[in-house]
Amino acid sequence: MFERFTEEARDVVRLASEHARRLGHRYIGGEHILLAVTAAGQPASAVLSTHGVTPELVEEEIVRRIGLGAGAGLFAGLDRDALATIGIDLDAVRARIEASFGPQALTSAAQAAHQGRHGHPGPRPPRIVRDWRRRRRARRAMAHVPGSRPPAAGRYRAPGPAPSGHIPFTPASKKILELTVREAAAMDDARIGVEHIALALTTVESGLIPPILAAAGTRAPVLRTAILDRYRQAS
Amino acid sequence: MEPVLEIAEGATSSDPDVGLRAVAALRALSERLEVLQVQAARDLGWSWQDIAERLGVTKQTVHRKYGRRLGRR
Repeated sequence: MFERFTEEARDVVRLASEHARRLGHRYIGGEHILLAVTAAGQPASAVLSTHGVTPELVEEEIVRRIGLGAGAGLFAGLDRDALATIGIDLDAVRARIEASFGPQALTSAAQAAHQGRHGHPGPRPPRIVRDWRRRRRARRAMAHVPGSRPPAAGRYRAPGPAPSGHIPFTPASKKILELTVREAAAMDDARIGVEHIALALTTVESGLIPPILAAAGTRAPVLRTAILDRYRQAS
Repeated sequence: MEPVLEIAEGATSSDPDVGLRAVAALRALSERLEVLQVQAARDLGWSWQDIAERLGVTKQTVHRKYGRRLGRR
């Protein structure tokens, strides 16, 4: 499936994982994909920027809402504003937890927390992701040109070594990749581009993306219309 | 960033939208903290029975929920 992705769209997926690592997060969430899209230098990125959704803002919001480093995953996706309405300061909770538990405990608890609530290792990844993993291995084996791609830049970097090895997509971000393919199919586009990822992001109704867009002073339907307009003009 | 005034209004609001969101967020937070604490207890060698007692649930419940997720330690 990923072979239909344009080079730029693949870069977005790759950069999403690099952004996650840089921030010390051990999972790739929709918010990391959003960050990668805003920084991709594509027409869709420009549309997002003109609506206030800049890489700087997205990064700032991610760090503000879930923090940096190993403990971040444990608090990922929690609605901090809702908690604030009943007097719970998520930052204060996090500070205490991080003071009492080592990074190792926080990391493995975060992984367990994201594994699903029924004690099972979680659903099998959707076919698109399985295929992608397989092809990625093949691609890496075939052609890896070190240093030929831009690194994931940004203001923040988690202290300590970045998470190494495989970091997984969250169920929500897998869903975004599936929806990306559907967006391209709906537009009869043979190639899957950054714009399709951006459109998929505008359909997300839970997690960090809606509050990040709200912080930028915009809403998903507005962005969706603007992105569609931009690409209609271009074609 | 949410203006402080808005948050203060939310806290005293009887709007179900605000209240229900707060409850859902609280539940999610408590789930995450439970994972962390159960894991820490297991690392310290606590039995499922001891953990269950503190959580106010049965041993079976806590084991069913975490046994596989946390693995054997």
